Amino acid sequence: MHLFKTNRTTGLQRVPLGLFTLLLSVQLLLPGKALSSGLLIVYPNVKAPYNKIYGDIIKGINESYRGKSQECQLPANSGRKVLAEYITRYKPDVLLTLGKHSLNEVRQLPSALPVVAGAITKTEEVVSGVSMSPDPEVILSHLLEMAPFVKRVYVVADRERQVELEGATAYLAKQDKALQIETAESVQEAANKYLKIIHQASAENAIWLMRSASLNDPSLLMLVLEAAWKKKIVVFSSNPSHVKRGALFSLYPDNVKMGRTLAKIAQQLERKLIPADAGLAPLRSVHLIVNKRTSQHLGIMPNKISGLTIHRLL
Amino acid sequence: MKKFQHLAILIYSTMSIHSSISAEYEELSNIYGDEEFITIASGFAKPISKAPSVASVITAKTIKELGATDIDEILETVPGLHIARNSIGHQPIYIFRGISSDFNPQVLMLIDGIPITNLFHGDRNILWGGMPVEAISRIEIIRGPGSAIYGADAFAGTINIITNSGRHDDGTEIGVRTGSLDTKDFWIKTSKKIGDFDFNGTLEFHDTDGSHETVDSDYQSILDPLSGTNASLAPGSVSQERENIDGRFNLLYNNFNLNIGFQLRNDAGIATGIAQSLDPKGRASSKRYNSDLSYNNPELTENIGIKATISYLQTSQEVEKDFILLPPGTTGSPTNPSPYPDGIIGNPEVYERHYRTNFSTTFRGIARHELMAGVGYYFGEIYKVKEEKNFGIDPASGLIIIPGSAPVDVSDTPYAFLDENERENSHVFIQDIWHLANDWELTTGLRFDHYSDFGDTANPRIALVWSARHNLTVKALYGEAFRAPSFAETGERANPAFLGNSDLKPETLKSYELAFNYKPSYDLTLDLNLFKYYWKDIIQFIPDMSGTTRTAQNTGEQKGHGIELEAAWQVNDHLSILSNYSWQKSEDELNKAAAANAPEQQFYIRANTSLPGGWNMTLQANRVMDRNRAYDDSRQDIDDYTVVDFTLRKSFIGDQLELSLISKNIFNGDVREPSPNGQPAPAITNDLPLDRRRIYGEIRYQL
Repeated sequence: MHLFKTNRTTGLQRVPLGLFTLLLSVQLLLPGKALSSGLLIVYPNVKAPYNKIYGDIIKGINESYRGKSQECQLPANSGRKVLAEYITRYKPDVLLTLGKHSLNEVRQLPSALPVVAGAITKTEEVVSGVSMSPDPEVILSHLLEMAPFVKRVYVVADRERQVELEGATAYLAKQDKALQIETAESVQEAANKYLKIIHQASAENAIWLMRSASLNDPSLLMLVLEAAWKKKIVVFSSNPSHVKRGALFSLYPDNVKMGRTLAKIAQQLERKLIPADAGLAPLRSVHLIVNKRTSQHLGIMPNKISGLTIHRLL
Repeated sequence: MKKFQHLAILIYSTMSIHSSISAEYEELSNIYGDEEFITIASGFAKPISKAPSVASVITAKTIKELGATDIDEILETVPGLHIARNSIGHQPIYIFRGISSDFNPQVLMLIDGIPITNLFHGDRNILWGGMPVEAISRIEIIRGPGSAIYGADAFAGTINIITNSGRHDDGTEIGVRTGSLDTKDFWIKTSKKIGDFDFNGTLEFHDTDGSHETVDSDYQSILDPLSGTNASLAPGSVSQERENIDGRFNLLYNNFNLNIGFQLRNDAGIATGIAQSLDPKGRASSKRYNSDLSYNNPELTENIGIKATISYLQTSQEVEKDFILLPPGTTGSPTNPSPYPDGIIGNPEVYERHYRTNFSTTFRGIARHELMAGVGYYFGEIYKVKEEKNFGIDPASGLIIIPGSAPVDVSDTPYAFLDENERENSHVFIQDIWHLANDWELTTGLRFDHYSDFGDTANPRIALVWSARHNLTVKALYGEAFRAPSFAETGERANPAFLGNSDLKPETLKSYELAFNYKPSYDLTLDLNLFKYYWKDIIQFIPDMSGTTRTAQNTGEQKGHGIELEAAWQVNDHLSILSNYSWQKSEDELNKAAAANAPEQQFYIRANTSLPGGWNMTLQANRVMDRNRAYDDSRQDIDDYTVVDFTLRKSFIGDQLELSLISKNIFNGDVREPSPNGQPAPAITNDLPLDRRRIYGEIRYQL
């Protein structure tokens, strides 16, 4: 490590930029132990089966992170104290938090260490990391793989969600398809909008059930699924448990791959290749879950969907 | 005052941590769906059902909520399935849809897909001794025949127990449970990642004095007045003490899966005795070891998946302390004037080995078809039979063993109760799932089996599944099944209680089912199943004219029909209710009488509530009704009964510690299962008494 540092500092003015880039690439490929004093993964103590989610993310981090990493599971009480002890003992270069609770605990510390946030959907302060919400573009690309005949996608969303849909609109437009956004702020309003959509929609349309606790009332969901079944309209959802109820498909994070991405961000942050407030990158590594019964009803044979790997077929 | 301030701060900070953690759960649930889906997505639960059927799945979560300590407590909650008891050790008789028999070989039990059927009686082992539940990840119960997939023992029903495995790293849990009947349980289970290997291991100890319920009469009670003796120990208590040690270990590496398990049963009392005469001193043991290695690659190529398995199972039935078939002072027969001062002693031991290998492949290359085919080979042997007894013929002298003599070793002679024997079976099967039209799916399967001792059999299965509406699925099923006679049924001899018959034919079953699955609302699921079956060439141990022995015979035919209704309702985030009702009517065709012992009606209801603060409560009730006597049994019909159980759990320290109170049969109901009929009269007249109220305390700690 010392030798490398010497080379870099003393030889910098004399080596051409290309060679410097080469050296930097070599550095990135070298075993991490020689480069870093480490990564501290901070995650909460949660019950089964939720613990499996963190377990898989950590597996992905450890697979990809080329350096020493330590894991700090926050106990239910005195988490902050334990965390402070870990930081003193291991002197990490970067903290990688999983979940909202871990991030909050890290934020309370006086430490100025760079932070990477994972297993989170949004943050109050801007932080680098990966969002746990699948990228809307990824959801729509899956839809078009499975049901290329769909020409228009309907979605009911509250105003807060509309920003997320701008990218989705642009993506569909590029494919010569349309996204029709209906705004609703209450269950009643959502019900009216869904009724309107059901009335208008045909077998060339799809309905996207976006994640929104206030709008996805169970009875509303059943209403949509029933009408969609009769009119052979594709219904897909951001909530995987809707697939069991009859939605065609949903996506959920591929935790191991998400972990690998987090490790890469941590290493980039360590080397200051990205700013500390780069924000949450959209989640692109996902698993696909398909309802076999619904897909057969729509004439989509699950084992004939090219280019997609079905992780779970219900 | 300052103390209170500190306390207030502590409580506040604890509350804020808990709310922060529950926000975590909410966020995860939002992304991954509900908790059940997380379980599926994270690989805890992989559906293994290979063909449409009427099936129930019970997960580890439900098992824990039920407060179940033995697998039978779980199985009793399944519609159309009731667990009666036999007189030897009160081992379970799994009665599916009215199909009942003394040794219950009509039910196939698998552990991780491997049959645990013993050759001797075709059951799980005559000294089964229960199965603890901590190593169980889920149980799939298929009602009706499954021979087209599972082979010739999947007759009345199939119970597949899936043990803990998979890629998770839960750490280590230790648990203790103690309470009624001087029961002491201890277990330790762990799941660990070791490099590229995933290890799951569970070790369980169970020690109990068992029930001390009394029986009023036994077989000796019939003999006493005829022989002028007074030897019977009845009224007396049943003997049910037991010490069980169970281990289950799983190692997963890429597509390879290795299971190793053992079930040791020691110091086991034999309930109402081997020959239906109370035997408080006899003790049995059984050692069972199993191992299987499989390679499973569902996506070997784009269209082909393969699975290969090899497995080994070794079982034993051993005698720890002399089995006293009839008590001291008995003459054994009214015609024998000399009493046996130590009683009639018979110590039968059986040792078995089973080897299996299977290969199956799936093919998805033909449009609208999913094909599955497989081949398999089985070799099983009773490799050792031992017996000591103090009656019958002494093989050394050829003379009668005089009452009062010490037990004589008759192993490997014609005077032993059974010959060592072996059986080979090879099979080939094919199944096609054909998506006929958008909402129609037809599954056809055929399995051909060749038995070295019983010849050939082919068992078809046809299932038509129609997605009638978005929330209604209709299945029509037809299946056939075959059960080869067990070695006891064909070869048992020189036994004072049971005799074999080498001329037996196999039993056959044909079954028709119509099943409806309806989801009227988001949180309510209703199932209705209608079935009809024809069971032929039934093998039963029929009492002989002598009155002391029973001989295996293809004694008759039975037909039956019935319905099962199930409802599962998630009332809100905290309360769920599950209920089922089963009704069946079966007729003993030979005797033109209602089929015996199986309940004609069953009702079950369970409410589970999960409250904030780590509380979880389950209240369940099971009612068993209308069990008929055999046509020639003069006793009054056995009383119906209801058992109510209650389980309360509370977790602490972020679920690291859990305390539970488990109570069974809380109203102390008198619960009895039918005792066997006999000639001139049943030996145990007042049936087999089961456990009364039991209360256990349980602690689990996550290390």
